[in-house]
Amino acid sequence: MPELALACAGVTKAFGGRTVLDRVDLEVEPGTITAILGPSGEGKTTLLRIVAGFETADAGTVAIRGQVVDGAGRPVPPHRRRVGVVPQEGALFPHLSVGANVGFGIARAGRATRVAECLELVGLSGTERARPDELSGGMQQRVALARALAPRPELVLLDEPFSALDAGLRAQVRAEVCEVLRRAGATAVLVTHDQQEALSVADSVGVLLGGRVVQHADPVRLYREPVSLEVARFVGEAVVVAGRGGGPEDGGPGGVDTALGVLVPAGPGPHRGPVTVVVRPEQLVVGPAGTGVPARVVGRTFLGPDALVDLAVAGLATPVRARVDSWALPEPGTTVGCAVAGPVPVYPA
Amino acid sequence: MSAPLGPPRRRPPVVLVLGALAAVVVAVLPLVYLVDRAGSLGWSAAVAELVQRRTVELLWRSLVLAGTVTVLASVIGVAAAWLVVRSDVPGRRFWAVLVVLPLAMPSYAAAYAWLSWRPAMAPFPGTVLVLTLVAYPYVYLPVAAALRRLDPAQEEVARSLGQHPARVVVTLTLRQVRPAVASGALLVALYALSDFGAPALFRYEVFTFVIYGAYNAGFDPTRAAVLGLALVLVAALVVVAEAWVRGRPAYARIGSGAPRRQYPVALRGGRPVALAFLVAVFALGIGFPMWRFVYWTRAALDRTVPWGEVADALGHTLWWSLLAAAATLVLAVPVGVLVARYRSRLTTGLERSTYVAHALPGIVVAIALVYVGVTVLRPVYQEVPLLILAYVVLFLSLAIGTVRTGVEQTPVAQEEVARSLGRRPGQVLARVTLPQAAPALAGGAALVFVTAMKELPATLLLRPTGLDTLATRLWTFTSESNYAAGAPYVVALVCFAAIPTAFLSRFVVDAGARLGEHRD
Repeated sequence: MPELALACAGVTKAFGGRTVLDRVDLEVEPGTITAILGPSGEGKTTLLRIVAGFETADAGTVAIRGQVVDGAGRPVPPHRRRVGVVPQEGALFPHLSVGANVGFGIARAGRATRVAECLELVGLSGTERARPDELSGGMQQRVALARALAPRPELVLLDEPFSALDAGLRAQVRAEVCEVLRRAGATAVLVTHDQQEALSVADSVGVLLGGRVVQHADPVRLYREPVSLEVARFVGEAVVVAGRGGGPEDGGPGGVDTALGVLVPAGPGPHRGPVTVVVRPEQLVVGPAGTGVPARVVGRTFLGPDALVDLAVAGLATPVRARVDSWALPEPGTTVGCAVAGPVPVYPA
Repeated sequence: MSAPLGPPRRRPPVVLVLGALAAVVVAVLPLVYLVDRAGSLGWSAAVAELVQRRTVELLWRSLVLAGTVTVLASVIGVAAAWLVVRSDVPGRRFWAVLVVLPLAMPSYAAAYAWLSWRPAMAPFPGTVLVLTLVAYPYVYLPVAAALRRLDPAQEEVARSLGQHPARVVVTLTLRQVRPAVASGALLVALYALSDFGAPALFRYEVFTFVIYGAYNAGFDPTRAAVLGLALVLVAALVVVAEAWVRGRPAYARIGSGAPRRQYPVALRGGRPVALAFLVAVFALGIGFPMWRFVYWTRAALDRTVPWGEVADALGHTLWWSLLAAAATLVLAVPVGVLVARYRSRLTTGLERSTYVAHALPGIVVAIALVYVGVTVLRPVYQEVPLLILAYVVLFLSLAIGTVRTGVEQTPVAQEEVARSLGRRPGQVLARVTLPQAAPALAGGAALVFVTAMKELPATLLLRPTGLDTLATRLWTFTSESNYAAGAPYVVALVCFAAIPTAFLSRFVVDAGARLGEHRD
């Protein structure tokens, strides 16, 4: 088994009595991109800063490539950790040229070659002599990445690197940056509060809630089988419906019985008795009246390519929300049929 | 999302702490002497000396002088700052440099100009006039910088809520720059309390003048120390009062977007009045004295001017001021970096204690260092190093303020990135933080340089025997009413001090650095 690029075990940190990180465990395989996803102010950045060595953990250990850098004796200072950092705003050195920025962390011998190589990697060949303030926000962010990659770090940490960019640019820069990281074969940890960002770019996503990594899985699994209702709600929009589970041996239908019909549980069972299921809006298939369970359209939100439809269903106190193609948008007040496609995660009620 | 602020993150590097400790030792040296000296008299005798009728009279006179000058200089400084930064008064860019020039004018040079015109000028009005006109830039600079930083959107909102523009200035703008006004007024008050040259030339008996007399003529160092200690207590009261006036800064902005461009307020019919005000301030503060200097220089040229002596004095002035600027900066950097980057009770305390010397009048520091020189630093007594040490004590806090401002302008994230790229803390300081703080460091050095060029009382007492600066030569001639002989010295002094001052005005206001806003 290859050595882990990063292993955090039981990392705990409190500021002024407030526990920000509570026994965080996180393992990162070499050559992968891992996203740390969590709401604002939940300690994501603090975790990154502990890994980088800007903070020290109150308890727990951090190991980079098997070497413990925090938690055993004196913490290894940031400059000896071989961890590259790309902060939110890029933090290029404004008094140095682009080339000097990228070359800041590497030895003089072969510096020019390596700088050119890294700039080429991020698609900015020939900008060595430019000043950082002459570049656009997206370009600055790519220079910051080139600077972090130049010393061939064991690990690159990116702290909300795209949140300072405007929405149009964000998706593009995000794709470019991840492409660069993969081409460089780098191991990266990316902190974000944007679910879509985490799910779309990362090989695996760690969800940080209440100071703990509550689930660490690949994006598909995380979205389809969240370990708890809390995680399910955080990683996407969730329609929460009560139900009753039971197998054929109990005389039940072999699934979970809900107001939306009998649903197939995702992941291993058994689920017996009262349960809660989570349905994603795009799993709710809206068809003509008579298909699935009857539902009345009580509201809708037009989003362009698709739309959200609020449906009142008999037996449910609040309407459920379905995502439909915008060309097939039903009129408010009409009655439609509603069915659930695919398996749904099930939690004890 | 963002890093939690507040708790100190790391322990500061030992080198920085040692450097800062050295700075503090230097800064509190004079105070230790004063207390020791006054204590040698026995505390009851010292107190008796203090409550003498004459001492109380002196105290009152010093306070009235300082109060009058502070009020007048604050009015002029705030008005000039608002006109130059926020109004459409003609020639704003031009005025931005001109209104700061009085910083290059030593008080005794201005006093020389007025006395050479009207030798019988009354002591109190003369001293007030001169001190006000040379000290208002201390208010102008921080207020101008603060005005430039204000978000114009707030004024626009106030206008849209139906407030008259003049009311907006009073209710919103001036209220927001109150901390800057307070810190500037503090500098003026301390300046007026501790100035020696102007009251001495006008023969207006205030603390500094009498202390000099007690030391120089009567050679009564103990009485000088007791009076010095009293002056320090008054200065400390002023510092406390300033903190009280300043209050808590109440300035909030949501989001990180840069404040928008400020549009100047149209003065309309008030433009001629505004222009006349600026012209009058300039004419009285710079124009009139310069005219007198030129007048006396022509008189001097009729005789033989000892050019060699002028050149020697100029050489000493420039060289010693340069040494003072360099030495002060070296000691200010560790304190400034500590306070900006490793804020804790310890570092704040270190910074505060260096401001003790800021409240100490030059004459008191000089007397203290004479004692230090005689007792422990015998080899350098009446040598250049002791004089430079006095300059460092006097001007350290000026430089710390600018160093701190400069360091704070570099985002911490840049330093962290540099660490993660394999650089040690010292290398990060040298290659990332200090290069970016360079304009601020240069500003601090220029400030110390100009102030050292003008310094009179400490230079008088501590200069190497037989060597003179422009200031001490001027003092000698002016106190003998030999104005023609002093003319070449004053022209050289003002012209050479004006160059770094002009640089300073650009740096302080344009970079938004905060002269005087160095304490929280």
